[in-house]
Amino acid sequence: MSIETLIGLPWFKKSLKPDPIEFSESESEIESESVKCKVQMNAFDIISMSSGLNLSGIFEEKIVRKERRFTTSASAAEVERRVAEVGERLGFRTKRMKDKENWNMEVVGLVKGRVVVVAKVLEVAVELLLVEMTVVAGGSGGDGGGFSDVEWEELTVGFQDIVVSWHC
Amino acid sequence: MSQCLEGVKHLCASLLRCCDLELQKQSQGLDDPAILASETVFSVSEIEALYELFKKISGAVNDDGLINKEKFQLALFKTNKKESLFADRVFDLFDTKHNGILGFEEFARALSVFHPNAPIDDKIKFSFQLYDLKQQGFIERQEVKQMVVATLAESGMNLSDDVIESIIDKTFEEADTKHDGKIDQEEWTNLVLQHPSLLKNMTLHYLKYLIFPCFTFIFSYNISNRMCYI
Repeated sequence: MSIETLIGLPWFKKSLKPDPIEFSESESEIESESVKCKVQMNAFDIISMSSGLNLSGIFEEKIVRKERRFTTSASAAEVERRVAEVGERLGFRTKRMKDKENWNMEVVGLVKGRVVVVAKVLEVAVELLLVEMTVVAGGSGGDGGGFSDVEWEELTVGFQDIVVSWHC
Repeated sequence: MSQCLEGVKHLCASLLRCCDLELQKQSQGLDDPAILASETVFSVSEIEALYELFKKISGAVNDDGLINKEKFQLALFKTNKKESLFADRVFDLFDTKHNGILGFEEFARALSVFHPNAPIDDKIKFSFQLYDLKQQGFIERQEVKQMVVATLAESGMNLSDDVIESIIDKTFEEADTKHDGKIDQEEWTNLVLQHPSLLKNMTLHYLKYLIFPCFTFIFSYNISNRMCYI
């Protein structure tokens, strides 16, 4: 068996997939009002978003977009509703999850097969929320997962009217 | 005759002691992975795999066997045209010899801190040093503002100065428990323990999978890693 063949085998590919799941499933109902959904960003939260601090690029052959962010003046509840709507339209299942690294804040997960996208809503300033969508697993964007431009386009187009601006 | 030879030997020895020797030593092959392995969280095999990655990065642009800032930027951003305050800080922290280049040892020791199993104290210390732009042993408000502004500029997010000041006010209110206008290492540690997500950039999950056949194939044989799903 050649190396190329080995790499192509499904069980081999599967065995390579790690699972650094920082999100655990939440038991609460999808419909419940979630005021806890937004967490205030401090200066270092903002600084951590810088791409210069993300060293995973050295392991990747090309830039993989695993995350997209936008600011909005919509309310957290509206954002959540929109995420669920867009997700459903694209065939995702909505799942409430908890972000273990952020005080177990509630985040909205979109699940479709092995693809999981998590939407986090953070408060930058009064009436300005930052919505961070991260591809946590799967996606055909590149070697390390993440979404391709087309997949991002599909997802993000549904938010266009509530977006103040998009950010990397 | 013998005096002459002695003289020549002496001269050669002095010349060798000149600047290049250090550089040469730095760019030599992997001498003893076991030593590095014992001083980092990596196993010998992981050190060897990391060395393949190092060779790949240091081989871009030229092959002096070292990583300069340009090659580092290239590895990180896939372009050497992107200036980044933070990438510069990271490079400077990796460069413990302060000679503007990274040898394999510096590369491996620094990346060891980013391993998922590295002690959290190391990560806290590294991140503190990262943000302590002027290296004064504390993070000043002005440094925080500089970093926030740099990040916002990079991401294209437009916040008014008032909003930025208010965010920094709130951050210092929470972090600066000694109320001296600066964040020292102890205050930083407390802040990070309250907000673990602030350390997310300090862990690279890829480092756990260095010795998966996939990676060593990529680095040594340049096979496309399209099949590697991480």
